[in-house]
Amino acid sequence: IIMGTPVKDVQLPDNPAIKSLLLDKHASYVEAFEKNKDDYDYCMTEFLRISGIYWGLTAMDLMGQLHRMNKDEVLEFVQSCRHPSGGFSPAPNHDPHLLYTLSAVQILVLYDKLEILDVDSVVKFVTELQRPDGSFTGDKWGEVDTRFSFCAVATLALLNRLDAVNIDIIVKFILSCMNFDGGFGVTPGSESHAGQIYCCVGALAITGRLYEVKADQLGWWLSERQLPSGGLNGRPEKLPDVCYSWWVLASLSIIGRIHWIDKTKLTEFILACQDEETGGFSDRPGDWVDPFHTLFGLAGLSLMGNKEVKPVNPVFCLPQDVMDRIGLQCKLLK
Amino acid sequence: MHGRLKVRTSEEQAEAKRRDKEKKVKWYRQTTTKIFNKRALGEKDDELLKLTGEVLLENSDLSTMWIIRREIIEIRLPTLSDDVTEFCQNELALLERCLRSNPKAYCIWVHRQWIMDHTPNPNWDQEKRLCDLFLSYDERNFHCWDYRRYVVKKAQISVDEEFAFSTEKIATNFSNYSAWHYRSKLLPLVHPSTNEEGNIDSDAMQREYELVQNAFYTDPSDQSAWFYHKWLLGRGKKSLAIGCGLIQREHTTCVHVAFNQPVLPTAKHPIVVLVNNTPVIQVTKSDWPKSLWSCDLLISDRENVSIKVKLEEISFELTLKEGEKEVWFINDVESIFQVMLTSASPEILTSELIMCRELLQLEPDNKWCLLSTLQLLEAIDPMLHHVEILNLFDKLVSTDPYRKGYYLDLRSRHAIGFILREHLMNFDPTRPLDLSDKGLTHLDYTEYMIMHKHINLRSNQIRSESLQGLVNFKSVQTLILDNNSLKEIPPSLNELTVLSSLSLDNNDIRNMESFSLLKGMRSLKKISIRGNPVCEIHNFVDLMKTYFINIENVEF
Repeated sequence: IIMGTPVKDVQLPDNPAIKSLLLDKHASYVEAFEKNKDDYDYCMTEFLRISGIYWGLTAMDLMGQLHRMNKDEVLEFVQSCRHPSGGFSPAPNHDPHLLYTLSAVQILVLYDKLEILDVDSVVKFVTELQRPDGSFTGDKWGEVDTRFSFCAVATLALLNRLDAVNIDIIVKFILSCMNFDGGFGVTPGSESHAGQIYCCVGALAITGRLYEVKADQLGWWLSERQLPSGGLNGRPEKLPDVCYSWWVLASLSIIGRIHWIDKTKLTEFILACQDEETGGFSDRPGDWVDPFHTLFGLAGLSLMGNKEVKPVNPVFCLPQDVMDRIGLQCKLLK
Repeated sequence: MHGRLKVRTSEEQAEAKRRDKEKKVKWYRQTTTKIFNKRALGEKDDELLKLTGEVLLENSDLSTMWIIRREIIEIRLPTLSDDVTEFCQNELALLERCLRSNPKAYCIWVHRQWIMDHTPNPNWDQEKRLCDLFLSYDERNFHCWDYRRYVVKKAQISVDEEFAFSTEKIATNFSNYSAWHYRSKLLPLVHPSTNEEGNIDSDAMQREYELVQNAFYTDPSDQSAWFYHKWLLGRGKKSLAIGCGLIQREHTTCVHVAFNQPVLPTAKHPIVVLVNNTPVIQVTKSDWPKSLWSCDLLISDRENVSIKVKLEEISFELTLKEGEKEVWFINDVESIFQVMLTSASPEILTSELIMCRELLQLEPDNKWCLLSTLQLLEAIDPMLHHVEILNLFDKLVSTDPYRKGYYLDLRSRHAIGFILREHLMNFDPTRPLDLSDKGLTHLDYTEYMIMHKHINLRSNQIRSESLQGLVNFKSVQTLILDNNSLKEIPPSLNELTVLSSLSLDNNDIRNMESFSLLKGMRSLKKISIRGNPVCEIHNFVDLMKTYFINIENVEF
C-alpha cells in the first residue's frame, strides 16, 4: 500500500452564533432580496429569475412568512413571463423553457392562483417537447436532460393533467438513464449525479413507478454522499454542498431510506452554512449566501423533522400543506 | 452561486468594486434592452451578433442570448460560401472562451453541439481535442464527458478505442469515477460473452478484477474502484420460484402464495388460480409488484378440492381435503434468501474473498473492504458464515457510524434470513418464530411468515414504517412486540384475523387513539400492556374492553 488520497471535505467553523437556526435572519434576507434589483448578482441571474422567486417564496412559506412577500407583484411578474407558446420564460423577453414553466406553476400553486393559467396551453407546450423515445427537450432547441422529464411530469401532475402523456414511454427513457451504481444521469450513458437522481426518482414517484428503482443499491450510493463534516456531496470525490441536503435527502426520503444518513451530523453542517451577518445559507461554510441554498438548507432540515419549519413534500419541494390543499399524493417507498 | 468565498475587503476596495458593478449593471441593462428591441424588430444582423457576443462574454449563462445567435446563424449559414468555415470557427472560438471561464454551463455546451450539428465542415478531431483539454482541467466535468460521447458518436470512433481511453484515464488516476462509469457502459459492448446474451466474456472479467485489485492495493480508500467492483460481482438474476403457500378456510377459502421475489402480473403473464383444474381467477395487472398474493375463493368444504396457482411456467398445486381447515406447503426455500445476486462463478467469489481478506489484514478498519468481504460471504454461503457476517456488520457500524442505519437494516435482513431459513427447512407451524433480541431495525421476509402461529419480536428497535409487514402474519395467534420503543400500536394489526394474544410490554404507547384503530378485533382475547405510559390513563381498561369485544384478560 503506497498512498492514500485525502478525503475532499470541509472543516466546520467553530462559531456558536450559528449553532441554532436563525429563522428571523433568513426571513429578512429573502424578503430583502427581491428589493435590491440594481444589485449586480441579482441582475446577472435574470436568466433564472422566476425560479429564484419560487425558491424565495417556498423558503418563506416553510418559515411561515409567505405573507411578507409581495403577492401582487409576483403574480404580475409570472404573467409577464407567459409566452404565446404556452410556456413560461425566466423573465420578460427571455425565451420559454420547461424549467421555468415548472417554477411558474409551482408559484401559482403556492399562491393558490392556478386559475389564471390557460391550462391547455401549458399542457400543449409541455407535451410538444416530448420526443418519440420518451425523453423531453427543455425547449424547441433540442437539449435532452432527465431534469426535463421531471419538469414535464411535475408540471402536468400539479395541473392534474398527467393524462396528457404516455407514462410508459416516459418511464422507459428514465430507466435507460440508470447506471451501474443504481443512480441516474443526464442522458443515457451519463454519470450518476444526485441532482439527476432526484429528478428521476421524483418523476418515477409521480408516475407511480418507484418500484423500478434499485432502492437498496441507490440508497447505499446516496448514503455514501455523507462526508466526515456531516455535509453531503452530489457524487463521489466532490465537496459537500447544502443544496445536496435537498437532492440527496429528498431522494432518500422518496425511496424510504432517509435514516441511512446521520441526521445529527447533517444538521450541524447545514446550520454551519448559515451567515449570521446577512442571513441566508451558502453552499458551504464561509461562502456567499443566496436564495437557492437558503431554500434547500431549510428544506433539508424540514425533511429531517426539524419542528421550526413546516413539513416539506420531498417530490415537489413545496410545503406539504400546499400539496394537501390541492389533494396531490404520490406513493413513496417504505 | 457556488464556491464563492466571502473575503473581507477594505472600505476603499469595497467602494471601487461597488462603482464598477454599478457601471456593469447599467451597461448590461442598456445592451440587453437594445438586443431585445432589435430581435423584436427582426434585425438579425451583424450588430445583433456583436451585441449578444459582448453580453455573453460578461455572462455566458444567458441562454436566450445563445438562442438569439442561433436564430441569426441558421439564416446566415446557407448564405455563406468560402467564408462558412471561418464563420463557424469564430463561433467555436467564442464558445471556447466562454467555456474556459464557465465550463459547467449547460447552455454553452448545447450551443456548441448545435453549431457542430449545423456546420457544413465539422472537424471532429478538433472537438475531441477540446474534450481532452477540458477533461485535463477537470476530469469529472460531466458536461464534457457527455459532449465527448456526442463527438465519439458523430465521428464514429470505435468502442474499442473508447475502452482504451477509459483504461488510460483510470491508469492516470484510479480515483476517476467518471472513467469507471464510462467503462461500465463500454465493457459489455467491447467484450460480450459468446454464450450468454447481455453478459461479459469471462477472460475480460478476469482482467477487470485484476484492474480493480490494482486500484485497491494502490489506494484502499479510493471508493470508485469499490463501486465498480460491486458491480462486477453483481448483475445476477433470481429465477422465479414459489417460496411457500397457505390455504386457510374459515368462511371463505383464502389462498396465499409467496413467490421468491416481487412479481408484476400482466395480461401476457397473468397469475392464474385454478380450482379442480378450472381457472377461476386471473390477475392480469397490478399497480405494484409484490411477492405475496392472496385471494378468496368460495368453495364448498364438503368434498376434496385441488387448488393450483400458476405464473409463467411455475405452479404449485395443493389438495384441500373435505373439512380440512388449513393446508400449507413450502417449496424453494434457498432462493428466497438469496440477496447477493451474482453472475460470478464460485471460483471468482472465492478468489475475491481471499484478496479481500488479505487486504483486511493490512487495513482492518477499511469499511469498503469490510463491506465487500461481507457481501462475498453472503454470496458464497450466508448460513455457514453467519457468525462472521454478523461480526462484520458490527465492525462496520463502529468504523463507519454515519451509515449505521444502512448497516443495521442489512444486518436485520441477514439475521431474520438465518433464523427463518432454518425454520422453513424443517417447518412446524406451532414452533414459535423467535426473533427476539436480534438488534432488528427492519422487518424483512414477512411474506414467508404467513404460516407461523407464534411470533416473538421482543427487544428490537423495529422502525414503525417497517411494521407494515405485520399484515403478512396471516396465521399468527400469539404476537410479542415487547420492548421496541413503539409510540403507537401498528394499525396493520387490524388485519390479523386469528390473533388472540398480543403483548406490548415496555413500549412508549401514550394514548388510546392507537387502540381505537383496532376496534372490533374479535379474535383478541388477551393483551399485555405493562410498562407503557398509557396505563396511567385512569379508565383505560374499561375503554379497552369496549374496543375488543371478546377480550378476557388485560395485563398492565
